[in-house]
Amino acid sequence: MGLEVPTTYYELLTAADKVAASGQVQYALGGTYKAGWNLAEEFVNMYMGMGGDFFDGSKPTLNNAMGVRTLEMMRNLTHYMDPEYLVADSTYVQQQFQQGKIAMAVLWATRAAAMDDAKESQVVGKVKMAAAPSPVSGALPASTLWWDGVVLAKNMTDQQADEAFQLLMEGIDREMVTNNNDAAVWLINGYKPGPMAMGAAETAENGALPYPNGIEMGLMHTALGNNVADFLTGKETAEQTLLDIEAEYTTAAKEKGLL
Amino acid sequence: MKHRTFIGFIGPSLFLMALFIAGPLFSVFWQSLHVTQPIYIQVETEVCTPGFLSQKCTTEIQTQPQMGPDGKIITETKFAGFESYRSLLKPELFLKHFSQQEWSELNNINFYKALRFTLTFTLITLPIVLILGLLIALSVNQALQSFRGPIIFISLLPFVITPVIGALSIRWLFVGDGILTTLFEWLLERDISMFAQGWTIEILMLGYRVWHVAPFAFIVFYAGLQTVSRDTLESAIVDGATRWQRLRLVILPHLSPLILFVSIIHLMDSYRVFEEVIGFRSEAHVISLQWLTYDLLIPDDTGNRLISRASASSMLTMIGIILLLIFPLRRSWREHKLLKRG
Repeated sequence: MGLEVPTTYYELLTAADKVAASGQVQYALGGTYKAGWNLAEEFVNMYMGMGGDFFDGSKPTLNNAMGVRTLEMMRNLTHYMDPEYLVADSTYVQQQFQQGKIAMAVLWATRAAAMDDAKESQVVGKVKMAAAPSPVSGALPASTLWWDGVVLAKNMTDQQADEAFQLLMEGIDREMVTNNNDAAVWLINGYKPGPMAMGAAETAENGALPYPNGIEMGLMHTALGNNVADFLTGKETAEQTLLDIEAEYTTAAKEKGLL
Repeated sequence: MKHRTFIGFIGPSLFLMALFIAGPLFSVFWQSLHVTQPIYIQVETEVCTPGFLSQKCTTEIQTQPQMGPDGKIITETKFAGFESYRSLLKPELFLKHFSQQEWSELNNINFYKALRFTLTFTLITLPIVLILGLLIALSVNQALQSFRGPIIFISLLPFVITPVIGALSIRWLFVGDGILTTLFEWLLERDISMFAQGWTIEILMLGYRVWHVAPFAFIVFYAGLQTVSRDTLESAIVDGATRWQRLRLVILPHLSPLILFVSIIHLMDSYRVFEEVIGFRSEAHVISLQWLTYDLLIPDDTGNRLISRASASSMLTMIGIILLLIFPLRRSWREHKLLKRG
């Protein structure tokens, strides 16, 4: 259709509009909007992309214009999605892609390899990963970086720790990466970023922030996951939703002794 | 029976009941009145992105729980009174919205949202389960002897399926372009999204629960039907009673203790509705009281769990079940006394 790869969400919406009008796929967009953790993660991505702050110390600060714009952008996106977006998790969106039902989605980079798996995908070679768009031109990408690491418990004996460490090193060595190069976006020497990983690389290059993990954020994530849907389904205004999120966070933070 | 023998028989089960029912119950009640909090310190930490092409590091102030010399988090437990109950029930907001009849605002408070669904779910499924169970029992009782075994086996199958698995299968049948949704779309010639709004999900939940529990009511009623006195039935026929009169005046009175039993079990079970919420992923539209407890109890990414409020929530669920059971239990007690008097 000659569409450019969107770099902002405004461009993404324009592109989605054209795709929807063309009628070539069932839904122009997919999204991991399952109520709860997934939905909260999408809010965090967008809000961080706008440069919003969640906290002042331990006090919530998301009831602001950026919070409202984040919610409104999310609702605009849902107009192009399968109406059952509130039950869609990563696997559901991945399957929508594989079955050719959606044209675009913001999805974990680790899900990319499945698109080219001929055993389960009908769209082999047709899906490409690009960098996560920004909410507006010049802002940060609407994405947060996540990665897996390994931790050894402090109370192990030295011998146990040695053995565990050797086992881990054996498990994540160069040979393992070469054999499974496309199974994930590895942060290990010897990994060659394939075409599917370039999106994640560019997103990181464009300045995406790591997920702001912390005790407060855990509580905030839960509060987001329980309340954002009320705005998307039209039960509440954006302002009321943000007030509810802050109220739920505050109650939880008081119980945890943070406030 | 001698007093000692009586104690000897009843003792072990009393002990186990104290250990596994009274003990945990008391512990939950105690936890609902107390809060346990870590002691926090502000730590300046360096946060780095992974070394993917290039690495960026920033320093920020993080709140972290303080560790003791043994490596365990230092916590303090305080008496909080009914604070956890208050933050669940929000009595001021409840009174304000209730007196002004602002139902949607009331529905915005998680506890009342969950209570609304839990109660309607319980009270709507109860009569359907009873009537459907009775109907199946009556028709199996009419069926030819040789057919009864297979029919009973097949009708019991839904009851055997693990509830979460059953709920998941129903979701897979209906979600997106599931087989049944596609079938209905083809029949009705319109687009259907069962999981896009609350009421369709609720209908699926009700249907699923009835499908799952009706076999239990059926098998209990069927057993009861085997003990209906043939003499009474035959004399009723001789007296010219119609089929409906026989059902109303002979069979139903005979089954009434069983109906009460099935009702009590069903009220207790469905007030704890949970599997449907998880299986159907309905959190955005419909939540139940048991799910509320679960949501407070489950640790988030940083390991926070709101144990005090979860305990309060499960105490409230238990109180709700007791309130619901008062009516059938009082009835059963009165019948018991009548029988004793003769």
